[in-house]
Amino acid sequence: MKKILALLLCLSMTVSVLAGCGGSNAPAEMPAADTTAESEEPAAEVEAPAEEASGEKTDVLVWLFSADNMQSYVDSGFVDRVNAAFPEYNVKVEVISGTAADMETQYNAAKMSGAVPDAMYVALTTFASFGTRGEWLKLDDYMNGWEGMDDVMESTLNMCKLSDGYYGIGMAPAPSVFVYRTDMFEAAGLDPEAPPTNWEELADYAQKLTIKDAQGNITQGGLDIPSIDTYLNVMAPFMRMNGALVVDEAAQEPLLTDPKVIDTLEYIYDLYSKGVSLPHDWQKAETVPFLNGTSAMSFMNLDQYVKLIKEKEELKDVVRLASPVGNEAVASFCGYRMMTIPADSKNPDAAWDVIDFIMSKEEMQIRVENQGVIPVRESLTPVYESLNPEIGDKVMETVAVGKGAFIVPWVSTLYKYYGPAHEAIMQGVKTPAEAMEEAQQSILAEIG
Amino acid sequence: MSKKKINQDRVGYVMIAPYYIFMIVFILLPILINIFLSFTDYNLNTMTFVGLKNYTRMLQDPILKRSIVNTLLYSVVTLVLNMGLGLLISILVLRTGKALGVIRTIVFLPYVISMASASMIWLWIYEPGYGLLNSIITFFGGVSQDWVYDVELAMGCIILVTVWKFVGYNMVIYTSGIMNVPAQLYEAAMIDGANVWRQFQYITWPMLRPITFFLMITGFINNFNVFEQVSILTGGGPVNSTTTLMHQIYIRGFVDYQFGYASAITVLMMIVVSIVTALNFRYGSQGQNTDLS
Repeated sequence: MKKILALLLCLSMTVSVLAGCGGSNAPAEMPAADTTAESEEPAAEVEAPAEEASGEKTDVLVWLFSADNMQSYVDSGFVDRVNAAFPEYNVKVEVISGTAADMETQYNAAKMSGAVPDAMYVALTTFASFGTRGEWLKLDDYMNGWEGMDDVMESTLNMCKLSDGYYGIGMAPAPSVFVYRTDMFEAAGLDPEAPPTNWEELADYAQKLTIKDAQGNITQGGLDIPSIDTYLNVMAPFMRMNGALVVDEAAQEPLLTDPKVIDTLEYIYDLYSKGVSLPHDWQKAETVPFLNGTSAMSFMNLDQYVKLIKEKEELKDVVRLASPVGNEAVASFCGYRMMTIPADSKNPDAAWDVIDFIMSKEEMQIRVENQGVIPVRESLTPVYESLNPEIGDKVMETVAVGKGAFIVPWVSTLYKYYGPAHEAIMQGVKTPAEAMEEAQQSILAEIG
Repeated sequence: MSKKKINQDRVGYVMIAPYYIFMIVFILLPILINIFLSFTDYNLNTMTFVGLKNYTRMLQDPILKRSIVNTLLYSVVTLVLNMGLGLLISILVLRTGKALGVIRTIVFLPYVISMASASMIWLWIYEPGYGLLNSIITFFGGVSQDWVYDVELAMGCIILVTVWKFVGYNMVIYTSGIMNVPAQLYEAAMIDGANVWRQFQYITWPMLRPITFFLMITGFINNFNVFEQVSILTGGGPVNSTTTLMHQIYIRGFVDYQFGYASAITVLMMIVVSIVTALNFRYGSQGQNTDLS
């Protein structure tokens, strides 16, 4: 009897182990807020064939991530509206919490388990890096007849292209704005109504705004210059201000040894070595001096500015947005969030219908009015500016001259070699010319 | 062999089957898949067989070479500090008597914090502008440092975090080992006139060899897998001064989507860890047969 019991126990344990290893038709588990028209439905039904899941209706799974107050937008009744507009579809939305990188991880997991969404909201970096490895469906056939083509900003449409056509549609710009502290300007004897507009003024102001103690320790930085800027969020706009391309996207070629790139980095290093900035990593908000109140000027994500003002109301009258700075040209960083259709989508036509609905003027106006999202339709620009009288014009100026991640298949290779090269310059280990030459050669060697 | 013996064996095999199935599916199979992937160019979409290309590429990859040097440096320094300080603190704690529990708890406390949380705490401590460390230094009139942003200091900062977190674990293991040394050995040594150092040299240290061996093996493997503190505190910088093998595997796999190359680095790492572990078993376990009779 004991033997039989032992055998049964072992068998049950073996079966449970094997069950754990086996494939499953259930969708990948995600830390997501699942907002569906019929949220009481079991999650497994999301993956079920359309006819089985909801009669004649076609299931359309949409992934959004929590940037741009998307959770609030979804909660405002988006799912009901889209399902009412398309009675033949059963649209389900999942808002993935976390960053764009978390979204990438979730997508990879979903792809491995064959459960990719039909439409997906992604950051520009994800759009570029995933798009160049064939993850997105080409949208030219859909976009050629789309009514929004005449209204959506040209700069937005340019961001939606990969090598041979449209693979996404820009839904919300994510600009990096130039911010400054009026109280620190006044304390330094500078006019808070006249922030710097060119490199000469920027360098002059940065030095005047810097405060050091008797030992030479920086107690207030004049301008945030990141010692770590792996993704060129701050440096690429500076290079473009100086007339450099940085990357020739048409020829698919890095241009880090362009004299204008070197000049830019010499200008930046000259300022940094004068001690106008505390060292920090631009990607880590908790290290950015301006956000910690220890710097007078900075370039930061609009989201970070909005969050700062929301958390510290006393800064509302002190922190201001300025127009983008220029040298040979005016330039800024402007990321984008895009809607894409994964190449493995089971219902691409239905997915496009949902994207069309999301991009409609009415829905975009809801996001502009309720979630504070920047519109990409020119017809809604006045609405945004009237709703944001203090910052609206500066934000739109920044978007107009903004450019985000470089759309090349080897963008991660660019970051991998530019990042350490930038750090070597800031550490004084290499000159800008040496560091850029080495980075350029390493990139060329790797991309072939 | 009798029928009864064969039946007993069958029951035994069935009883150990769940563990072995688990091990095959979750350890052996992934290792074999990883070795297979190391001969391919796989990016989640397409897979091409490339032979030994990933391995030859490793020979010409300056960042990988830097990561190997960094990993070895980190592993050895951290191991020596963790074990040395762990042993020292355990001896000092045992000699303090009454405060044993309190000190042991304080030193052990960081071990129960997750490495991600610990790294975030230290990120704040190292922050150049308002961080705790620079605040203390400037309070006493010193010059603040850039810590994790300084190419000369960054690796030391990471090692310090690891030592802070794991020294308590080493201390606890050593303390239990020292407490298990038979008291009569010390009594006999004292009668023979041996001082404290001689007692440590000829009794404590030889008796702790099995524990030291255990801590060395597990510590080395743990150190070789260092990732979280690198990712959170420095991201491998500045100028790749803190990038490690595990960090490179992550970057190549999940940032560059070069899973074939990442798998090849994993194979290299597996070989290195296996060799060091084998050497430790061969030479590190000598002297475990201390005769107490």
